[in-house]
Amino acid sequence: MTRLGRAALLLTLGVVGAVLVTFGGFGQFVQQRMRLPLLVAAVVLLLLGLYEAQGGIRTVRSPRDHDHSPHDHKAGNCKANTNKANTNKANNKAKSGTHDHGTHDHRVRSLGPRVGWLLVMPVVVLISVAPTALGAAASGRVAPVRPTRTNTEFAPLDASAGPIEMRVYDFLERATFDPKRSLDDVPVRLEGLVVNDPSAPDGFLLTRFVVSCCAADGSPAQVTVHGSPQQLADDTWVEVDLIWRPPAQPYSETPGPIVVEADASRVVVSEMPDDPYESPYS
Amino acid sequence: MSATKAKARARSRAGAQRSAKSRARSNAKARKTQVQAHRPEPQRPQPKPRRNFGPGLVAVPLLVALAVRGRVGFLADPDIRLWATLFVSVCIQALPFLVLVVVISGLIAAFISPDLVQRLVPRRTALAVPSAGLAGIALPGCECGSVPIAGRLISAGTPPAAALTFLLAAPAINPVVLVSTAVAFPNDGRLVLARFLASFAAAVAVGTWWARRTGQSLRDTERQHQVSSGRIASFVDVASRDFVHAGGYLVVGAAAAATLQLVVPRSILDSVAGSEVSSIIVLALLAVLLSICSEADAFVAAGLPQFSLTSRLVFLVVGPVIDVKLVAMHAGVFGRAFALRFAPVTFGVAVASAVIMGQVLL
Repeated sequence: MTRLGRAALLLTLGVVGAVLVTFGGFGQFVQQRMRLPLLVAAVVLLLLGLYEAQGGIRTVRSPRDHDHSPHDHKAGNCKANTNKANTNKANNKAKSGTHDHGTHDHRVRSLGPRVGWLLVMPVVVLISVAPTALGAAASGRVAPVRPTRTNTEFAPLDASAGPIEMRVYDFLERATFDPKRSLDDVPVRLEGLVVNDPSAPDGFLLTRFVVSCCAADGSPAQVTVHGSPQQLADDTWVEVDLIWRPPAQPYSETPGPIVVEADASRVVVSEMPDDPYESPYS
Repeated sequence: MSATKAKARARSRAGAQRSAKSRARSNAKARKTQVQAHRPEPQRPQPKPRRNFGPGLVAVPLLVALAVRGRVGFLADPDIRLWATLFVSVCIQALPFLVLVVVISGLIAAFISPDLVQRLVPRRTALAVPSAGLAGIALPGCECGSVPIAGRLISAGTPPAAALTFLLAAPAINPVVLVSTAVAFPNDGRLVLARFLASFAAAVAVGTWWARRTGQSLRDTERQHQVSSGRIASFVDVASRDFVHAGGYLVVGAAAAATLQLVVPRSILDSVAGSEVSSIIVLALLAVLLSICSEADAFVAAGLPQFSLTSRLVFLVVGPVIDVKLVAMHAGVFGRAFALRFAPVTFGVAVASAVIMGQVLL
C-alpha cells in the first residue's frame, strides 16, 4: 500500500463518517448517542488522511527518495536523499531504527497489509446495497424483546388530552409489570413499523427495534395490533392509537414468549423517524 | 543501533531474565540484524517488486459500487439487505472506538519508550499479569479495540503475557460494560460481580498460561518502527498503520458476524434451553458465533430468560474474550498460529471460570 493509497482510504472513511453524521444516516445503524464519537472519529480520520496525503504527494514528486528511504518524508524532510540518509545514519542514533530496513518489500508491508483494503468494503456495501434500518426481514430472526424491570411503580397516566404517546418498549413494560394495570382502557399512541404475521390476521405486529449499541444487537419490541382498518405492507411506518387488551391469564403464567395484544382505533401511515430505534435505557 | 536496544540485548544475553519479554526482544534483534545484513548490497534488482497499491484501489471499488447500485437484482434481496445492515452497523459501531484506540496506540509509539515500559511493568509475572488485568478497567469500550492496543503495547516492550491479560480483561471489566450489565439485569446485582470476577480470573489465568509457555513469542508487530523521525510523524504513521491493519481484520470479523447472525437465528434457542450442560455449551458457542459487542451483550443475555443465570454468565464471560471477529483480528495482529492456539485455550478457560463463579455466586 502506498502512502497515497493509505491516505485515500483514511479520507474516504472520514468523509463517509462525516456524511453519515451530518445527514443522520448513521441513526439507521447505531444508537443516537454514537453521534459525537462518530463525528470525532471522522475528523481524526480526515486529519490523519490529510497528513498522509501531503506526505504521499511529496513522495511521488521525488521518486528517488520514494524507492529507498520513505521514512525521511515522515519528518517532512523531503530533501533528504538516500546518500544523505546513509551518512547521517552513524551520527543520528534516534533515526537509526527507521533507516535500517529500507527494502521495498518491507516498506510495502510496513505501510499496512493488504487486508487493510477491506476497509473500503463497508463503504462499497453502503453504496451498492444502500441498506436501511432493521425491519420486517429481521423481525422473525431474532427473539422479541423481553422487558426487565425491578421497580413496579409506574407514574399514573392521564388521557384526558387524547391518546398518550409512549415508546413501544415502555408500553410492553407497563403491560407486563404494572400491578395496578395503569394501561386499562387508556388510549395510547405508539409509533413503529408494520410486520405482517399470521398471529394477527386482522392487523399486524407493531414493531420497534430496541438497540443498545448497533443494529446487530437489535431485537424487536412488538405489540400485536388487532382491528387495523387497512392492509399495510411490511415495513410501513405507522402511528397507531390503541388500547391494551389485557391477557386472559397473567403473562407470567403463560408458557412461551410474552405476546402483548391491543385493539387499534386509528392507524395513520407516517415517515420513518430520525431515530428508528428505541434504547433499552429509559 | 540505538543505545536502548544494545542495552536490552546485553541484558538478555546475560540471561538474567528468562522472561518472554527478553526473548521477544532478542528475536526482534535477530530479525533486524538479518535485514541489516542484506542492506549493504549496492544494487537492488528492481525497486518495485510488488504492485503498488495506490489510491486507485479505493476509487475503483467505489465506482463499481456506484455503477451497480439499484441495477443488480440480487442486491435488493431482503436477506442481502439485512446482511448489509448488520455488517455496516457493526463497522460503524466499531469505528469511533477503533479510532480512539489507534490514537492511543500512536501515542504509545511516539511517547512511550521500551525503557519506560520496563520501569512501569512489574518484573515478576505473578505481579505483572494481574496488574495488567486491572489496568483493563481504564479502557472503556468493547473488544475490537483492545487488539491493536495489545499489539502496540508488545511492540513498546510490554511482556506479551501482561499485554494479553490486558487484551482479555479490558473489554469485560471496564465500567461501561459493567454498568450496561447492571442495567440489563436490574434484579441480579450478583451477576455483575460474577461477570467481573469470572472475566478477570479468566484473563489472569490465560495470561499466566502464556507466561509459562517457553520458547514461544508472538509475531512481533513491526517493533522496529517505534522510533520514527519526529513525534508527530511517528504518531501519524503508527496510528494510520494500526487503523488500516486492525480495521481490515475488523471488516473480516464484521462480515463473519453478520453472516452468522443470519445463519444462526437467535430464535432457534427456544428449542435447546433444556439441561444446564447443554445450555452452557449452546450459549458459549453462541457468544463466539454472534460476536456481539461487549457493551451490548448483556441486553442480549437478558433477552434469553429461558436459560439459567449461570449459562448466561458463560455467554457474558466468553463473548468479550473470544469470538469470530476477535479470532480474525488476533490472526491479523499476532499471527495465524497464535490465533489457533490462543482461541481454544481462552474459550475453555473462560467457560470454566464462568461456570465456577456461577456455582459460587449465583
